[in-house]
Amino acid sequence: MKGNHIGELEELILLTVGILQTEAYGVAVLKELSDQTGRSVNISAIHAVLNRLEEKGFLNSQMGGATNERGGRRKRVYTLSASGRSVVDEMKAMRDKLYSQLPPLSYNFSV
Amino acid sequence: MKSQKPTSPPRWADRLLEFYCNPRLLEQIQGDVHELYYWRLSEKGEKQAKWAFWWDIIRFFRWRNIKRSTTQQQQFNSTGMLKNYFKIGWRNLLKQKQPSLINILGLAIAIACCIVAYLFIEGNWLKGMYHENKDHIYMITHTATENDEVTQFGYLSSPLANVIKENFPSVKYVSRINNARVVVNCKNENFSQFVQYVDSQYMDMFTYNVLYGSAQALDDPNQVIVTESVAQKFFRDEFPVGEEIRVYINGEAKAVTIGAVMEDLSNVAMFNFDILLNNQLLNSTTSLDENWEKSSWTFLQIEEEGSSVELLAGLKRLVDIHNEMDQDNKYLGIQLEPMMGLSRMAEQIEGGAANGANLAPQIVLAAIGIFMLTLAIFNYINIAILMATKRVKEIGVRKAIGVKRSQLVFQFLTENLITCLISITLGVLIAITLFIPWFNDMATTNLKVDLLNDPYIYLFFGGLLVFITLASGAYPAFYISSFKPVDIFSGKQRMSSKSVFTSVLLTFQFVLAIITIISGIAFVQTNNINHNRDWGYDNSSKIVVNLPSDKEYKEIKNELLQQSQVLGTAGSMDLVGRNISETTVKIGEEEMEVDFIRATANYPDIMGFRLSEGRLFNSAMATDITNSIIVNRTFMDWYNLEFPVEQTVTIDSNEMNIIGIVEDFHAENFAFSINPVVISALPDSNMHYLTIKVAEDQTEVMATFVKELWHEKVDNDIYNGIVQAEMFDMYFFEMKGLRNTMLFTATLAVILSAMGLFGLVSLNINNKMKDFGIRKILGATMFQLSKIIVKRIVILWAIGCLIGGLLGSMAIGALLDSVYSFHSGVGALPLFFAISFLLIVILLTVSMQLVKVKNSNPVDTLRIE
Repeated sequence: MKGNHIGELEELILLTVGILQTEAYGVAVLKELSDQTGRSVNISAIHAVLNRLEEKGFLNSQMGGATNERGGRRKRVYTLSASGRSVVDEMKAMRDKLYSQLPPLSYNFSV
Repeated sequence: MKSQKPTSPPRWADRLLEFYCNPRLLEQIQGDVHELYYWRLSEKGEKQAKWAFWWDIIRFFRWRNIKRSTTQQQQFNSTGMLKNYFKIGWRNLLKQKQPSLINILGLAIAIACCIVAYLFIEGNWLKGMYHENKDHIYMITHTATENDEVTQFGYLSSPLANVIKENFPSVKYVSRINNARVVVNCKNENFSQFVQYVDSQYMDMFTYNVLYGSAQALDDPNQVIVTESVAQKFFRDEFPVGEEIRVYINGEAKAVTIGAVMEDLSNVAMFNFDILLNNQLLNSTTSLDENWEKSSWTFLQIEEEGSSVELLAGLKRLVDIHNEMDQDNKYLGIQLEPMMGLSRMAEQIEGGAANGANLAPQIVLAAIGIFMLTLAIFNYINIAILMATKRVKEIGVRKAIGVKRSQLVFQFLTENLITCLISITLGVLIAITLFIPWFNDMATTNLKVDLLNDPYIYLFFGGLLVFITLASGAYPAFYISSFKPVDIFSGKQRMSSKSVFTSVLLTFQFVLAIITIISGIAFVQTNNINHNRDWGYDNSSKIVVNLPSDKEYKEIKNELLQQSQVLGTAGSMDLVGRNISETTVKIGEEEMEVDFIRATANYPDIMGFRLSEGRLFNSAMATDITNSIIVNRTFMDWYNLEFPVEQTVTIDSNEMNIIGIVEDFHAENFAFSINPVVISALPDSNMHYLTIKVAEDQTEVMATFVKELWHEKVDNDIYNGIVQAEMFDMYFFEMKGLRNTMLFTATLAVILSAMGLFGLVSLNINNKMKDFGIRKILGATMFQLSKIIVKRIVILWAIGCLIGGLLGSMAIGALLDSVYSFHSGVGALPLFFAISFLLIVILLTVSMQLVKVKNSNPVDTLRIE
């Protein structure tokens, strides 16, 4: 299916949202991403990807509670949708399948 | 934990985000960046956090996040709204009649001034724009070397016109044009007229409004076309077409008939002439078709746009043809210049059809227009702000029911548009009925507002309308719409007429008024001084006449000398006061250009030049005629000579001795400074002018007598006799015109600023009526009450005087320098007079309003309605 193809950053963020469960909003995703993978991404890029994923139907969102750091502003909280979950599964399955076909590393220098 | 006193994110970055961000996305985005900021603040320190914040804001600037108007916001009933704005605007105009009238009248007067200035300037730059084929008409010019420099000349060898006509099918019409001043005889009366000799296709090329007769009249070489005013001069009430006149061409009288009468030429017309004649009338004597040394202005009209390409390719061939025929004056190239570009190229083309536009009067007129407009606009701003005081409640209500500020601004600008439209209409009327006729009389121009043919004037009006609407309306609209409804209804919002802005505008008006008054007075003063200036010689009891030839010169002279009232006559080649030749003189190795008067030996004596040293000519001495000269004082000063002079002066390789020195005299009008003058004596024959000295008080009688005698003896020339004392009358007339313009400007400026002040004070007093009422009850005298109003205005007046006086004396001094060679500058008198005059006007204006305070009864003003 053509629409199911997603990019690498999209995949990472999709996974991160899944990990964070009900606490996934822009800054949280950013922090989680940099903690887990060491990648520092600009917040605007994260917003853009989150929006894109929501448009594709892989994420759902709603306005969440306000906190003090945000000056009383509410945040948009994302959750993984069913199709989002299946995309993640599909990606993993595909990678595993491809990986399993990889020949074992042979340190044969004679060739 | 964050620090105790958290610093907030950069305010400007935050504002930027709020400015561009889509309101629907703002909350989440702003929340995230703020959260990030505080996190970075605790992790990395303030500086980095701030930079990162800025960077985030900038990175968020993406198409998705940017605010844009949605269809929902645009669904207003604009037509109904606009209709309502116009209605409210109109009612407001009517409600406050006096201030509205001041605004409209002031603007209208200023606009009328601008229209005159515009028409004058347009006439200089858009010459020829009424001709229908203006974009297809080109002037043919040529380049040649003159004094080792390549110069472009506006004329072309006359026979080339025929070559062009025969060889280029894309050329529709060609016409050669020659200008001349000729003597025309009509019903035994001689007139001197400016004529243009043209080819018959001229009338097809240039569109003129022919009133009577046929536009094709010139096809017959013996027919001419005259302008309406000339026809009126020649024939008065008679029907001119078909009548016969005689034209003297190169001394030969030719009878021609009037073929058509055309409308007088406007200021914007390409050419200036009284009569159109066919070139063939010239041909018999000078042969334009064969004589390659004769040149004329040559204009051609191409068939259509783009067909000039073929023509341009063929120009090289024309150069070869010409150079073969006329080997002495070789052309380097031939060019086509579009007719509409000629005004702009006037400086570049030698002897072209457009004169170099004289910038000085254009600048003066434009400056006057701008001065007036500034004054009127400032009046408007001041009064509009005060007028709005009566409407603050309306503004409050509008704002309370959700009108945005931009809509209020728009409303005020719409109302302003009404005022400006009325003003422009009124301004055009004032210009057409009053200003333009006045200006035409004074400056002898033929300006007119041509609404049918002039597309540019609509551009001008449109531009003016937009400019005035915005310039006068923008500030009041923004200022008034900034009030907060809460303040308005709680009564806190007081309109303060003491705002700095109002004061600055008022001061600026005073400055402009002072400058114009100074200029008016300075010009009056200078004109008076020049009127009474000593001419440097005895100009009374003298009549000068022109003489076409030696025969008439002798006859008239001998006849006159028999009259008892004639005290003496002298002949001269030059006319002192009008027409002086110039020559180069050499003393030793030093060369100099000097004025050169050649006359009979008794001329200095008859003219009454004042001898300073040496002696005048003695006609009995042969050496006086051949190698003696008299010089003026300036000549001696320039050369640093002492009398008696031992060196000789070389003029045309003749060695001359200086035998006498006369005091300086004005050989030309006062626009020119006194040059070194050399007077040399000639034998008494073949003179151009005869100066007749008559007995005292007999000048007028003798002037008539001389004229009659002259007409008896001469029949094919124009009588140019003049009384010596009236020599500068033309000049004085011109200067009077200039003086009147300046006085007129000053009057208008004073009236405009007084009107503005009147309106301002009137509104101010109305706002303060309660204040005055209380003061009156408490026993304030009229003097104390006036002081409240007058004090501030007088301070502004003082500041205005200081600035205006300084600027005025510099600017007007420079202006006087450029107009007069002799003037007393801007002295203390004009300054003092200007300052006190303005003060009187200010006090009068204010006191007219103070009467209202004086007559007011506190009971009326303090009663609560």
